[in-house]
Amino acid sequence: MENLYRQYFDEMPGYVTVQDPEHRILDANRRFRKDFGDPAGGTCYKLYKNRKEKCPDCAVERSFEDGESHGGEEVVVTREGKEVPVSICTRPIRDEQGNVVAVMEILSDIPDSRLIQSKLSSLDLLVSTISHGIKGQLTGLDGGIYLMNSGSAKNDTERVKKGLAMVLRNLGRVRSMVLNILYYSKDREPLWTSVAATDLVKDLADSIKKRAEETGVDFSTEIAAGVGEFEADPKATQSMLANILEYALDACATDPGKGKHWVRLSVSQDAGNTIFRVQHNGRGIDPETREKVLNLFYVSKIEGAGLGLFISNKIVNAHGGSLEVDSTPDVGTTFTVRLPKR
Amino acid sequence: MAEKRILVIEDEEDILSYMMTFFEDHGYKTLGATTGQQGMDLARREVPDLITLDISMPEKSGIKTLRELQQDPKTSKIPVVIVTGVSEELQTYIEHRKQIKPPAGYVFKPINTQELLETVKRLIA
Repeated sequence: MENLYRQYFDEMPGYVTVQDPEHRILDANRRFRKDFGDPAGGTCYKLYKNRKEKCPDCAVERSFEDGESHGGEEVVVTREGKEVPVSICTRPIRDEQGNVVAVMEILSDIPDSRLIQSKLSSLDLLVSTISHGIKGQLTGLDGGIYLMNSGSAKNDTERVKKGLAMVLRNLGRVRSMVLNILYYSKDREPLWTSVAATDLVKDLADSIKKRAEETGVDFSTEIAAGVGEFEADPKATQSMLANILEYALDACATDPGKGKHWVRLSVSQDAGNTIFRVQHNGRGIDPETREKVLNLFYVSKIEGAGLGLFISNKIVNAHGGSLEVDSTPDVGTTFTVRLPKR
Repeated sequence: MAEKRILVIEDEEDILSYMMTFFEDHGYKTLGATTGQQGMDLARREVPDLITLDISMPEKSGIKTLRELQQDPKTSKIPVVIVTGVSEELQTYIEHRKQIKPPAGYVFKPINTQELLETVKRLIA
C-alpha cells in the first residue's frame, strides 16, 4: 500500500514538494527531481529561484503561520535555465496533535490560454509604457534642438553645447529603449562563450564613466583578487549590467536630498558563481515597489520605458542566475547578480 | 509691468531645462522643481502666476500635487497647466475624480511649443 501511495505522489503532475518550516525540501515528486535535481535537503527558494533567502509573500510561509492553504503565481527556473510559469497551491500537513509540521507545495503549469492572456495584457502595458517613454525622449530631443537653434541665433555657444548634449543623451535613451524592446520581443538562448569578468567590468566602466561625470555622480569599480572567467553570453551580460547601471545613475540624478552621489560596480567569484554588485546611494526603493521593479514594465519615471530592469532579470534567468534587490528608501540600493560559472 | 512668473514642475531634467529656457526666451521669469513636494513648497513660498505640472513623477505624482495645490488657500487660485506624456484619457480620469477640479489646461508631450505658449498667454496675459 505504501508503495502505491509513493507511486501516486511521484506521478502527480507539476512539481510537488513537502517542506519543513525552514523551507528545506523533505520529499519531492519525480518531475521535480527531473527538472531541479535531487533536493538533498536544499531549500525551495534556492532550488526554484536560486535565491539566498525566502521569497517575499511566500505561500508556504503563510501556510505554516495560519495552517490554511494558500496560492499564487510564480516563475521558476529549472537547472537547464528554462523559465516555467506556474500557479502555486499549498496544503498544510499536521501531526496527531493538529500542529502543522510540514507543508506540501504543488506547482502546476499555467495553461497556454492563460499564458497568452497574460502576454497580451503585458503587451498592452508594454505599448503604453513605451509610448510614454518615447514622448519624453522626443521632448528631450526637441529641447536639445531648441537650445541649439536659439543658442546659435543668440551666438551663445554654451547654450548650443548644452543643446547638443541633450540631443545626444536622448538619442542614447531611444537607442537603449529600441534594443530592450528588440530583446524583449524574442526569447533568446544565450550564446555561451568564455567571458573574462575583469574585461567585462572595465568595458562597462568605460561606457558609463562619461554619463556619470555629466550627472555629477562618482563612479568606481572594485574587482576582487583572483576573479577569472565564466561562461555567459557576453553581449547579453553586458546589456544586463548596463541596464542596472543606468537605473542606478538615474536613481542618483532624481535624488535631490543628498549632496554627493556615488555608484559602484564590483565583481567577485565564489566556488560556483560570478557575483556582480551594483550599489548606489541615490533614491531607494520601498518594499512594495522592490518586488514589482523586476517583474513588471515598471515605469518608475526615473528613466525611459522601465524595460531595462525587466530585461536584465530576463537575461539573468536565461543564464540560470539570480538577481536580488536590497534597498532602503532615502538611503540607496544594492543589486546583486549571481551567474553560475558553469 | 512686472514679468509674470511660471513654476515648472517636471522630474526629467532635460525637459525642465527646455521648458524653463523656452519660457524665459518669451519674457517670463521661471522657477523649477523636479518633484511634486519641491513644487508644492515653491508654490506656497513664491506664489507664481502659473504652474506647469508633469503627471508621472516619483514619490508624489502630479495628480496628488494638483489636489494639494487646489486644497491649499495659498495656491488654489494659481492656474495649473498639466504637461504630460500620459495618454489623453487622463482628462477623463481627472473629470471623474471628485476631489480634483480640472486644471486650467492640458498640453501633451511631445510638446507643441506654440500650443504651450498660447495656453500660457490665454491664462496669464
